[in-house]
Amino acid sequence: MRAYHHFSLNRSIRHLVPAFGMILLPLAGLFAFSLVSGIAFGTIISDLGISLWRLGVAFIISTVLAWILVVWLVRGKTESPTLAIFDVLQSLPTFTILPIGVHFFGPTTFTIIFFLSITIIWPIIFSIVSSLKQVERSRMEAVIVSKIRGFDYIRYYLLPLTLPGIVTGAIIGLGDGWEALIATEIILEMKTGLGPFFQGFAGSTNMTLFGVLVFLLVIFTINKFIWLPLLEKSHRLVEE
Amino acid sequence: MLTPFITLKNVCKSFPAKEGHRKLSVLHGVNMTIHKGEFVVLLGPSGCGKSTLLRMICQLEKSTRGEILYHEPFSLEKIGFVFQNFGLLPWLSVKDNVALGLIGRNVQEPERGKRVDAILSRFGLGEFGEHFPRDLSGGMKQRVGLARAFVTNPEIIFLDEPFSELDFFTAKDLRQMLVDMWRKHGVTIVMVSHYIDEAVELADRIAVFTDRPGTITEIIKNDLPRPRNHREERFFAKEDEVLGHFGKA
Repeated sequence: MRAYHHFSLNRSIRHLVPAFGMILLPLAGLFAFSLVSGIAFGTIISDLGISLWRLGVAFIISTVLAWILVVWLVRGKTESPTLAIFDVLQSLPTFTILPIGVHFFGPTTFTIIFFLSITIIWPIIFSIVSSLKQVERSRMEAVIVSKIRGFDYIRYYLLPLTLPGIVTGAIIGLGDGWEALIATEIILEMKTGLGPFFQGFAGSTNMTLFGVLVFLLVIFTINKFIWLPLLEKSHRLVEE
Repeated sequence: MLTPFITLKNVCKSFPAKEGHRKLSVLHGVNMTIHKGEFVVLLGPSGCGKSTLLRMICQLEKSTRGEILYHEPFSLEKIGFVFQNFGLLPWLSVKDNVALGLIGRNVQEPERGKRVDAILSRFGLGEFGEHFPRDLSGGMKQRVGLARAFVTNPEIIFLDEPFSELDFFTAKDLRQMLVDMWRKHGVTIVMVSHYIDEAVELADRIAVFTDRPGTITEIIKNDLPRPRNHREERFFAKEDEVLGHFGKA
């Protein structure tokens, strides 16, 4: 039966306090870091924003590309050999590709996004494959018998079916992505973003640790408010 | 006068050898004609290839040998399918699940909504249109499955052990509901079952299958008057007649 939720001010306040706390805590951390390091708060926010933007664009490219690739593969006849090739490719240390990216595109934001996309795409690909492989045969046959095709096939079947895989893959992929993002920004000697920010404090262990702690708080908040609820909702979607 | 609808001629099915397993032959030399408007039950033990045959008739599987002849042009447009484990899409509401076949057949709103509402009412699900499959009991899920099969007004409905996951009382109600709908719509029904009493209660003809590789040993005509009573002498006699054909090769 459908559960009816009644609005309760008391309950809402109880939830709002930790929710605001979770948002304010990283901001307070960033502010404290700004005071200790002597870097303007605006600069810190801007560097964080630029890194987030790079990661976000790479994530969107990877997700769209991964989804199209997997759907094309699983519906075609080349699935097994191609997945084996993908398995080998995902084991390749991605930093070995970085010089090729730099050679073609220079030390630019484009190179970072290209490199991040290659890093993030593999867990998303394999999670979507897993979602598609777990589908009950009767559901697949129900869609065939119903003659659902084209855009309706994507809307009513493929997209909801692969959503848990996309979210699971995104969580794993973004974890790898953060690591690769900061390293790439440092290697390419970018002037903006979190990489040069951390590089600037390379001589001070305390400041680096403080920065990492604040950075972890930011990631934790993003996970808590975006990815974990999405993960739960997407898995609930496919429960019968 | 019975009009032939689908004829099976020496239909065989085997699955190729896989990783250390030998080739698996599931059906061997199946011959039968299904007539328009009749209720046929394919009856046999688990694993004898009945469900595979059902899927081959509606072109979800390919036969290895033999022929499946359709006496008039056949397409997915003409069929409905009811699954043992319901086959509902959990992310769609009851209404959207039922509407699926209409969406695939390009039936537009408001006609689509009207037909969905009407069929949901007939299956006693009028109040549950906005609910999701996870909110429903097994019996209600299968009613959604039946509604989805009937809503497109198909010429033939295939049912793959539709009541085997349900409790006795729910299954009994749904069997009655199925017979009522069959008589009202005049649709052809081909159903797979491994329960003799269910077959005797529902079928005009019962095709008795052997163990794997399955083949039909006998097609038994069942002319008991409807509604059929499980407690009557002639019902028991028919059950015995069916039972007598098991084990014959």
